[in-house]
Amino acid sequence: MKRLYIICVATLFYISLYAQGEPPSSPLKNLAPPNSPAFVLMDVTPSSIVVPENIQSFSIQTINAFTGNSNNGLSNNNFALEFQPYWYVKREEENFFKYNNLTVSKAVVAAGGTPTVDDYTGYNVFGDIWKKASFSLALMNGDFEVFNEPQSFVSIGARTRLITVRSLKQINKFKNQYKNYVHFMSNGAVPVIIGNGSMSLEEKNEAIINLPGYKSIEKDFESLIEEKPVFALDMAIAYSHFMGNNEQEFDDAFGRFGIWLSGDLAIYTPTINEKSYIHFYGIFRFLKDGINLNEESNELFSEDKIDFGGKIEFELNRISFAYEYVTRDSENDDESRSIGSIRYRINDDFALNGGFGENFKSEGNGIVLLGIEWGIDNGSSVKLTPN
Amino acid sequence: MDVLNVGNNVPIKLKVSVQTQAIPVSYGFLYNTEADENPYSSIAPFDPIQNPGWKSLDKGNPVGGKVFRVLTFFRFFNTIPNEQAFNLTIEQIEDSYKAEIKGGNQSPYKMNNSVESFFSSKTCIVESEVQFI
Repeated sequence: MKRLYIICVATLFYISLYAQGEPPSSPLKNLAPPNSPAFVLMDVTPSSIVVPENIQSFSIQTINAFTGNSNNGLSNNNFALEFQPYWYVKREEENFFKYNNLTVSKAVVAAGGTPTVDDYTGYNVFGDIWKKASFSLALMNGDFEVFNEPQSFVSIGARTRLITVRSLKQINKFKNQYKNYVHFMSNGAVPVIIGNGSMSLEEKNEAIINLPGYKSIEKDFESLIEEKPVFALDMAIAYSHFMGNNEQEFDDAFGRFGIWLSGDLAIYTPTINEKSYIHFYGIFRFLKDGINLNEESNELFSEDKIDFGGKIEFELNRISFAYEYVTRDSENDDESRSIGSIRYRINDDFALNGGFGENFKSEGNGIVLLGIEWGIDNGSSVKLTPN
Repeated sequence: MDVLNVGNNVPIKLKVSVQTQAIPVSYGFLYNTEADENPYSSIAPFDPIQNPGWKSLDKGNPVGGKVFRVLTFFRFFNTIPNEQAFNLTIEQIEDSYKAEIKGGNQSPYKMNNSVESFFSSKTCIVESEVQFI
């Protein structure tokens, strides 16, 4: 009954979302695997070390996973809703420099007046905490190598970027690109187009964005925006509640709670490719895991676990290779997750994901994932199918 | 078109303010008539966030009987995840944008505006227009 209720709720979420506007028709430019904390907590994502680069204002994520043991997979009823409040709240005193975390010195602030571009000499490393904060809700079914048949879980989660570090070179690029853009928009053909009384606003926009100089500045600016921060530290917290099962005499109970930090040290390697990076990731996670079954008493029990590990990723424009190893220390036994993965972005709309290795509690069973990733207007999704 | 009685008051000044993560560049043009294709006078383009002060129209000369248009072109140079988020950033512009005139019989006078946004180019143009009498 509870499972039916969950399916109904999830379906209603879909219907209500699509009922609010046009059906999704155009692709997204920013795609990412489903990585909301509510999913990561349950170890069902392609990677347990993720950084929230492409959170959307509101998204629905789905995931289907199949492993070597079909009983170990997740059913089709796995949904996560993720919501980023930053976009919905009125932003006071917002401007380009503040958005990009550039700050002025206290002396300039004390002097009063409006700071010039060159006064922005500092960087607020905590400036992304609010911008990248998101909250998620997930509904999942899975046996998690504990139950005889898939059980329902409801998860909530939150994540954000605690620290963002950019190099002085990157900070100066922001200022220089701003100057170049404003200079271009203030001279030459642009004021003539804007002041033309016979053109509509749409015609003015088209004329400006098609100017060769505009395209050149736009390309330089876009490439700067895509540059990764030198270092980023993300934090996530999630709780998953076990909904219980009357047929198997399980009452609803504490499922799993986790809080974790993920660090990403990104080394830009332009000699290989202009969009090439080597990433070194680290993760530390505390888990209070209630999904453990005492087979004698057929009762669930809870134990504390600590995850720590790392991941190395080579990102070469459209293709990236990664390997991650995470150890889970617990009171009863130690486990590990060892997964190699490859991701190839065919174009801005489609990407292929592949993963192979061992997941936690797999007891030697390999996990092989192959998936297609695509975007729709209301969110990104991933479908993982057997290799 | 809105009408503002400025009479022989001089100088008439403009101020634009907005709160957005986009880079705005504002332009002010004076036309002899509404149908004119080209302005006879203009204010030097400026970023209203970096240059928030009052700017004189036509170097402080009388502008009675003229048509004045203010246009601000916005370009978002940041990652906007989807069109839904883009529309929310446009709402922020609509809510915070203010083009004001100082020097008329109603001073300061807040100009009405119209907004057109373009998700594909991550741009937006806000236009305000007033007839000085």
